[in-house]
Amino acid sequence: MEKILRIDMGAEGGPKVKEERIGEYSGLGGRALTTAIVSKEVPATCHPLGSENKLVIAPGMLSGTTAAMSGRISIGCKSPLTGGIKESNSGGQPAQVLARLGYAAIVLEGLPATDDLYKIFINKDGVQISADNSLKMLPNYDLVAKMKEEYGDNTKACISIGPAGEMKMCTASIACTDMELRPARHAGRGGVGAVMGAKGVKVIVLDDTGMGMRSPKDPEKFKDANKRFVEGLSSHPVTGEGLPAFGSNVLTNILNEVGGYPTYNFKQGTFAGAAKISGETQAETETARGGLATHGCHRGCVIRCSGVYHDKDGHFLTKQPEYETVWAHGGNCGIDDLDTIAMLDFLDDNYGVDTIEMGNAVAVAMDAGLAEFGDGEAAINFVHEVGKGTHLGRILGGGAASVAKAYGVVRVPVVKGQAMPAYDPRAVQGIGVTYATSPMGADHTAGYAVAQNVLKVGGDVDSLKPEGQIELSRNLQIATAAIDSTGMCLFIAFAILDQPETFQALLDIIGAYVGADFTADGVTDLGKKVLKMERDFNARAGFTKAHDRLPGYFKTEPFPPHNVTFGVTDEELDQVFDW
Amino acid sequence: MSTAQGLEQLQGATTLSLELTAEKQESLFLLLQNGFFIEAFVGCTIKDFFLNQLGLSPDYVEARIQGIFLDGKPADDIDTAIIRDGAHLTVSGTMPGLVGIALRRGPLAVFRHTITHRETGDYDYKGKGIIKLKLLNLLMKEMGLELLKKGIYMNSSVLADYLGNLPADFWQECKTITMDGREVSAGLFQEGGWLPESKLVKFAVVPKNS
Repeated sequence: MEKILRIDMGAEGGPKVKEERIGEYSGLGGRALTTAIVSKEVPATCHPLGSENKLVIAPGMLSGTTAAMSGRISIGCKSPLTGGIKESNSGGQPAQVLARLGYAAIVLEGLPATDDLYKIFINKDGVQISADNSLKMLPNYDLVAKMKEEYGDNTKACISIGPAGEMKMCTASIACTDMELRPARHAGRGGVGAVMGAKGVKVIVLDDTGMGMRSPKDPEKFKDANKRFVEGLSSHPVTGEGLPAFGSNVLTNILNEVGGYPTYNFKQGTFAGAAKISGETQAETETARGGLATHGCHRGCVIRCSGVYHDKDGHFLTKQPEYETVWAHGGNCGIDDLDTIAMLDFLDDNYGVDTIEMGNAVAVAMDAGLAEFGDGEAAINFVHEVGKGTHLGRILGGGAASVAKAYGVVRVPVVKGQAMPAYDPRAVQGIGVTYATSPMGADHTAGYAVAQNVLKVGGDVDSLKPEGQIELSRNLQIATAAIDSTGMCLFIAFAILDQPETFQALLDIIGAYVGADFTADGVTDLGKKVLKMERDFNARAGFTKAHDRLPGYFKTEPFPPHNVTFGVTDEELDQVFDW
Repeated sequence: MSTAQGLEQLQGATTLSLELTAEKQESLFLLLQNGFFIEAFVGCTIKDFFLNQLGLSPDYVEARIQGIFLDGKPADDIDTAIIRDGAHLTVSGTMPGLVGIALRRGPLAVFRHTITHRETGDYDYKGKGIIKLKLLNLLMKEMGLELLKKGIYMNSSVLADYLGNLPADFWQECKTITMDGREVSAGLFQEGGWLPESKLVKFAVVPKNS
């Protein structure tokens, strides 16, 4: 991965391709690389849908190797949803295929002079770009089917947008195909699909035929470390048993039990219908209908937290909806029917929108009185409106904050314009610290990964004192930024947290790959570097500490059943990045 | 539901037992995520309840029970947290996600410090009581059968709804169904119209050799 592919969509005479050595970005991958390029090359005050913004697609540092779990791809730009820097990442096959083609990143630049829509085909022989207006407004599943017809077995992976991306909606995602070439994995957050739409690119088809696995500097050490890493993942109760058996939706019952499950647009922490849409029920339903309760999203995944959801007649409906999706379209909208939620998941994937943002947008619309909470048919119709691009659909497609502005809703759960995920920050206040201060907007994956007791960033933290959550949020954000740069799935965090030998195995994998010792300090330094670039970009874009806040009602509106409010002070939030 | 409120309901509960093979027993484990009532000796610690009333080993508790929630609050110290009469106790075997990690005992517990269970030590009663127990995810299978063999008290409408949705092959494999001491046919449940008058049903499984 020593080269970067730059495509100037606005070049005179049509899109121009330029391949260049990675140069000053050498050694970076995933989020570190997207952030470095956006931070350095994109004017922070530019319009996100304008010619100066760039869309950077970067596989992780370890993607394309035999390292387990290394199939995450990062997509970065200035976000049309938040107005700040954005890195949104996805599973699926594109990270592995793009990395094997030797590209550290694809950078889409400029704006096309016409309204033509382009497809890009990349294989070992080069890059072909062609206008294909027959693809206009095709949903993702139809689009990929057409690419398979056209490129046959050479269609190894696709990166695409649906109609929402073409319409430049702020909820628009970028789809990545899975092992079965289903466009079911998405870089969902922040409206990255709108930026791809603005560039006039509908789909990038990747073909790594004739390319081998990427080789580490020290193959023997790499192989040994990877073996230990896989053993660690397989032996841990979460990564070896819980996630494969029930998927991430196993959290529904747990969050509901502690009163931290936001329901009816963040009005209460428990949902009477939780058991009907739990991961346990979902897995049983999938198995009974001939689907799969465990399935990997890319080759090399050993956790296999996903699945395949069939309808009542036993036909494929969608991939297993994740916890965040089940919550966003389920409990948060008062919907307790798994088939309805699965249909919404499929429609989101097909039209190409972020399930978290869309679920929140529907919940805010219900709060505005456009439909009753619990009305699944209305929710499905709302998403169809988005896909068709009606006036209402455009408002919904703008995200939760857009709906709130259009209909005068005061209670809108967003930070920096981005809707909150499935954990109420009043019940779990530490995640509220991360929601408030992450450069990405409200993001549950921003503070994840390796806990402080492993990295000890900033020294020991007293886990019993409330002020400890400030330091922990900081440390987790640093660790997450680093993990996002490797291409590793964040679900490796559990085994790393509990098993020091598994964390060492990961460090050894990276070390063997680069041919030098890699330590926990190296992880910390990388994470800090990424966060510093992101915060610097946001500052230049006009963000101040006033943007690092939760909406006011989280401080004043008690959240049942525990009737707690968000108690972290502004002064404490301002300390998160004091390092 | 405490003893005072609940003993009458327990005594008036319909009894129902199903004789099932090991394979079909598994079809019932999902029911346990809804929660059920059991008679217990209350006023004890959670640890004492696990070891001496459920018969779990200390190693099992340490290794397999990742999440413990008492009355909707994460209980970190099972040596001191007291199970009161009428308590709700939920146990989970896997806790993914950042919040999953935070809800376990451990360094991220501070993330949810405002909802953490804190024992006040002001409960003196020790004796017979009723608690609501809920088993989630991996623990449904691991702990469920022993409890079902002893018999659990389920909300009648929840149980009726669950049984009414079981597939025909489940009932074909069900050798004997006994309700209030009399043998009944599977059709009663398959038709979906079964709902006993009592609010609770004492529900039990009798293992059958396949």
